[in-house]
Amino acid sequence: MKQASALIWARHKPLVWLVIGLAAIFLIIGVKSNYDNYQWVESHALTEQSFAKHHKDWGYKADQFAKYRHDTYDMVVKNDGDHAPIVDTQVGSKVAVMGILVLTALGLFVAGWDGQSQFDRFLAGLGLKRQTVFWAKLRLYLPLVAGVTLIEEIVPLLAAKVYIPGQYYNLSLAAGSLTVAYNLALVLGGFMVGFFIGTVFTRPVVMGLGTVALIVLLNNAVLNLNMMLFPVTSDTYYGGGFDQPGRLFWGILGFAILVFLVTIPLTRWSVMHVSLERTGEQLLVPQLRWLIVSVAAIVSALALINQRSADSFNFGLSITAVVIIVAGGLVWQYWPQLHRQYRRLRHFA
Amino acid sequence: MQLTVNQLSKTIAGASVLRNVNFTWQPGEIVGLVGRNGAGKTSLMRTMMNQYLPDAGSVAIDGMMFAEQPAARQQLIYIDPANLFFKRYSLRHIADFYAIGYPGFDRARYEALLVDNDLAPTQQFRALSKGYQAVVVLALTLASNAPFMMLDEPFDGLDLFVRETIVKLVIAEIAGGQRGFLIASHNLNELDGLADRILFLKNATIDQTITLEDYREHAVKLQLVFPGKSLPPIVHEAGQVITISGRVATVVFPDYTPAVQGAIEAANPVLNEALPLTLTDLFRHEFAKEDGQ
Repeated sequence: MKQASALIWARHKPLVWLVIGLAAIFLIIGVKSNYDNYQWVESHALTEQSFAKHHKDWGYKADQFAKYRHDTYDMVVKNDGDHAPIVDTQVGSKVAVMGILVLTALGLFVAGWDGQSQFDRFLAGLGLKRQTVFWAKLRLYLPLVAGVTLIEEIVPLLAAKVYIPGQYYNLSLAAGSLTVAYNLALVLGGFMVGFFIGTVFTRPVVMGLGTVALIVLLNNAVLNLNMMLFPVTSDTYYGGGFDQPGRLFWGILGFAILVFLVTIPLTRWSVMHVSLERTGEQLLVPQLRWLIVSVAAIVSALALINQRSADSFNFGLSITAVVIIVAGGLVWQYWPQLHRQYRRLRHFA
Repeated sequence: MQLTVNQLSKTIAGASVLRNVNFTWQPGEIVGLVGRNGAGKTSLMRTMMNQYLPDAGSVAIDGMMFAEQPAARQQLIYIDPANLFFKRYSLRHIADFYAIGYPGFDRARYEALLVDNDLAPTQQFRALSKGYQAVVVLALTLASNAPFMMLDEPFDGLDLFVRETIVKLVIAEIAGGQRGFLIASHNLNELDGLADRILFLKNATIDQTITLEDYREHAVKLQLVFPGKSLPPIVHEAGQVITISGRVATVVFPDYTPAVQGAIEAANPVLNEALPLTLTDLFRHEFAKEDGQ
């Protein structure tokens, strides 16, 4: 393991420092931006005199100025009607969808870079077990991804505690912890999904488009599931995609943890079965073809559910997508034979 | 110490590129690997290095099978010239990876080899000419100190002086008897002076192993001129005509028995002169059979 770790570090050192450097820059920008936003909100706060004129319009009593400020300038608004511990606010913490995307891309890059640059060939030829190299990569990157996420999440919250007066700092330890846990689970799951895609696919364009499509479709699937749940719950809050999980908060958290836990052994298995003569093909591990087709079909089906009214949904697009994807999978499976047949027909035409 | 390839098989895109390949190889030996384009020479090396997973068979050193004891693979080095990860690195930085990957890597020797060939460790690999890149690949291979070294087309596209440099380095390395080379090459002239024996990769398998000495014991290459316009039947029956220029025929007789010699002399050749038999002749003979000539 020591030898594998030393090799991975020698190769990935610049990338690791780049990630740490970028994370530090984003952290500084984020904290500064939050601070500036709060300053702006504070400086544009209504005066007590203005409040006295408008309090009835806003549904407050005359002596509720402090409550009004608290409600409107909260660092985190707790939306009592839904099950999400947090929602997006102008000032404060939120579910970091961009962070999930960026670290999914990092996972993709970490795996794809070594494949595309032929470093994996070098590693394969050494006296190392493939699984040892796999674990060496994860030993470097999982703590990095987790560490960066935790710092990017926790530092702004602690910084806000310094510059936001206590009466407006409305983030409980439980809500804050759940926000961090949710983001951490999604980021780690995203990283491993990216790592898996970068391991088994060969073409950068396919990897990039596939990852973006997966994230967008998954986000839409979450949105649709939230909408489908809405009529059967008594919530006042719809919920949205990953950034506004609504009633799906615990479901998404559990799903992300499950994805993380499943993709680790799946990627390890894939690494063991990669044979590099397939670099000219789409997939390095053809045994995974139908798993990939199945995931694409399920995610697309969920993402393409169409809402006709509050409690009426149309599944036509979803069914069409499943049919097309399964047909595409069959063409993919039998492409060499089809291509051969096509060339034969052209030859004799 | 012995490296054994046993029943190694590999199918790529539905085509069998290696089928039950068997051979052994020991330090102190230079083994040539020849075959026509696409015969599977590079695939064999990549499969031995675990870049391609074999469908069947094994590679082992002294009974330690690579699949079960990957650490044994440290005794074997192959730098695939078509797939280098270090093109953007400096020559010194490249050594960092090999020093970690091969515990016996001799950095001082590597840098000495570079300096001997007018290369500075600070130079970037991709900025070098093809010839110098080949020298760097060889320097890395030699400095690894692995007992088994594989070179894939090491002379391809190189000028005479670089080819001579490579040949000298290989010969110097083999002298101690601690290293062995497996060299896949189309440059049969270079291989002729280097290889102790030749593995012919044909129809996806090692068709035969031949030492040039053995071949030269049984075969001859003759320049012949006969009185008549056509060649006597014995030439076609026992030999392989390489060239005909006017009435001068150059013919290789793979099995030059006294009976063949007698039949040729009975046809009263005007000219009957033995020429040096080369690996090219052997290659032509082997692969002409494949073409049904």
